[in-house]
Amino acid sequence: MTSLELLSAREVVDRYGDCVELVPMDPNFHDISVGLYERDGISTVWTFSRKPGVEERMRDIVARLVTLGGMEITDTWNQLRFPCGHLHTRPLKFLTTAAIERTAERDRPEELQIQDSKSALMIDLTGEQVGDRYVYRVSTTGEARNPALRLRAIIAGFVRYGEMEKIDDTSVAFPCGQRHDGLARLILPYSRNISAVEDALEADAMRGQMTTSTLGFAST
Amino acid sequence: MPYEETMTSKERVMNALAGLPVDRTPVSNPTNVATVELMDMVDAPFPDSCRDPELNAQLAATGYTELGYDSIQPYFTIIQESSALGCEMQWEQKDNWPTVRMSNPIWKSESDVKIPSNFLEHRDMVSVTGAIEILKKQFGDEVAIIGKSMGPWTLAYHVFGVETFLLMTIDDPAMTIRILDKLKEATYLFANAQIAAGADAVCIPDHATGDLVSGEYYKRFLQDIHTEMADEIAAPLILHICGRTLDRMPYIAQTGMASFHFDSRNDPQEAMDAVDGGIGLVGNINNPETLYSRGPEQVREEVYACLEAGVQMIAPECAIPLQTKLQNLLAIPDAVKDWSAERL
Repeated sequence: MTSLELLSAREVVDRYGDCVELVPMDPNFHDISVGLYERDGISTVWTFSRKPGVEERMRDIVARLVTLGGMEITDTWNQLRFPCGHLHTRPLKFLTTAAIERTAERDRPEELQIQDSKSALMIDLTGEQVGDRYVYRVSTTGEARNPALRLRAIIAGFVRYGEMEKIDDTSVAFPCGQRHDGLARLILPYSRNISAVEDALEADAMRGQMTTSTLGFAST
Repeated sequence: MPYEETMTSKERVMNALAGLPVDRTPVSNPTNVATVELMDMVDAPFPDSCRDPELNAQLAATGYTELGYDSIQPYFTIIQESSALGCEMQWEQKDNWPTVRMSNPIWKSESDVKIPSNFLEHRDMVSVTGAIEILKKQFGDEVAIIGKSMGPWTLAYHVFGVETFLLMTIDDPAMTIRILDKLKEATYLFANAQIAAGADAVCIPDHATGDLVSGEYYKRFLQDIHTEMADEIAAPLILHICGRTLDRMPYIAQTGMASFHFDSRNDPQEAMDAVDGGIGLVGNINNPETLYSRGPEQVREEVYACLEAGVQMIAPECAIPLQTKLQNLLAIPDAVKDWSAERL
């Protein structure tokens, strides 16, 4: 396929598989919805919108998935996969959101260091090949009451949002064992504060749900 | 050998509502199926599609043309009448439901309750009646068009505020009944206008919900009103109430309404037992967990549970989350057809 076809809902699901991520409003292009559909390890960027310029916008999103997340384009312009062949479902959510909702000006492609949100510590992420897998090591610099406790919490964040495997109290690896600096960089800010991220994810999930609570028809 | 479909979608729905035989169980949507992707497909985003008949009809039609459901529901929200009554509205964006700002209610007492003379001419009413006319012209008798008119209990929440209205039911039950009697005129006006525009059936959401109101409350304040509606409104009626409602289903079954749209917090078999053949049931695929965040296999399991229990029409339990993924919505008719092929 060289351009966006007009497809029915059924045709999209039959051809591209299940929608695994759906951004309801693209703030950088007419508030259109953009979905990431997945079949046999291939992710397809898709929208039903046919507003003028939409194909260029889809190409831009595909390019950002490559730049930010290290995905590679397959034979078809709007289809991608990770070189390792793994799906990386959870971090893909954060990657998709960043690729669509953020602009290039806010990207920090080289940064593997970030200020902790709960202490004065600076968090550093470094990686190295250890045996048959690539290991990411988290360290901190600066003053804090209990840096070891913060480190354990940050590692838990990587496990949760990156679906990474904990190796020890300071290091993690992706389940494929491969190097994914882009994904690790994206997960780093989320790993600092699980409770705040969970609150934000829950708020996102409740948006657009018609329930007795969201309609004000609840006692609490 | 695959079973053969011998009815139109409309015949299937209308027969199910009348308690007559069907070629397979219909998939319906008494409270609508709209998602952000379907909005983009026909370029009819919220909130514009809630306020414009053309956009409304285009988006509503996708439930039939894209998802393959047997009915079309062109009233997406629960606030059109309240907007026409003068409530303060929050129209929100494409990805969220318009709501009434209930923290700032417009009425305080019984004497305030007045239905404006131009109620049906308000743009948020015409967006629904106009859409029904368009859909009727477009689809004729091919597919059932289901209207929607809010019941007096829901309207009372909007115009008085939830807490104020519920306290009123305790402090002055007689006045509460008088207020409901006045407000029900809005329900009649809008339901009849939609039938005149071409609606084949009408959904009456009346949120005496399980988490706020008991079954005895339903019997005391609403059963008679709903019974009267079933007599007076010249189309099959589908009552919708959210939450756990098993305790009021025996009363609902006596109203004479054609069907009750029930929530996933009620087990399908227990619900069928509770209504005991007195009314049909439509539902009850879970929205926040199953349709929103799980996959087609889980949807299929819930559809099969409803079909095994004998639920007469299959539907999401309420208006679906606007970010529901298409594969889950398509899984509902797929599962109904597979079950029919296996069992019929």
